[in-house]
Amino acid sequence: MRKREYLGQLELMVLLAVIRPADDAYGVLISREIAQKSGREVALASVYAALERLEKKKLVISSLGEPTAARGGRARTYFKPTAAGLLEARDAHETLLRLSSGLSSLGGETA
Amino acid sequence: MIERVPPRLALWLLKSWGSPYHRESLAGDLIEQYQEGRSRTWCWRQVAVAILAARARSVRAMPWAATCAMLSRLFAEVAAVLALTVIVDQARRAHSLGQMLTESFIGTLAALITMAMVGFLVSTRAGKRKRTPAAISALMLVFGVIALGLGTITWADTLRGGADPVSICSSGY
Repeated sequence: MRKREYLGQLELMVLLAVIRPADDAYGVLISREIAQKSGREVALASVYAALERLEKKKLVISSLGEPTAARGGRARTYFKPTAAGLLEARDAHETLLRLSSGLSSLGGETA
Repeated sequence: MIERVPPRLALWLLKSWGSPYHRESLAGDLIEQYQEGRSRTWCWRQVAVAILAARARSVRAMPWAATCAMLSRLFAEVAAVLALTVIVDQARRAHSLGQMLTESFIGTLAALITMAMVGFLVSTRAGKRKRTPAAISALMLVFGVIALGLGTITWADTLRGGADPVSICSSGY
């Protein structure tokens, strides 16, 4: 049986932020998405570290864009979720819902 | 429009000490955000986080077993070279085999040989090597034979009720 690797909180947030925009998720956008939705500012390096772990787990794939003058001649790296990444995010979401249901102190539905 | 450029030193530090994973894209993201109005402090904080995270990861990923094997191998080699140096030095000073075999010489040699053998053993175990290379096996065998030979000579000398070989030689025996 394959040993399942659970995602950390930041990894899950980054994965969800990668899934959210249609096809142009890159460092700045992912970090902005997390800041807007969670109210927590995450350092760009932490976002890239989480992306590296996700890519290692084959949950996201990356592709290099064109270098632009506005970025000092540096290209953007775009990230896309893989099928396994989408499945993992769905599993994590369902698990969290199951765990939080019935917890009135969290505002969850009563069982 | 005046283009805002983030501190060059920060970008250089990021390039030199940051994680290699999409390093250029991270630098590009920093430049992009900086041009959108982020402060220098923000930029430096991002670089500091990037460097700290990369260094912490490299320390965590350090192959301790391999490092341990390398150090014990070095330790063993130093002990082996010292043992050879002690033998050569003692042979040059002494005029005969009896004069050469002093208690301190045998003790030092035995300690160095033990250190060399333990070092080689630890390096082999720590490196998880299936087979010891032939050269190391041969070297260990040579040291083993020397150690056994010296031990036997000393033991035989003690059985003979032998006095200290140095004192025998110096008294003109």
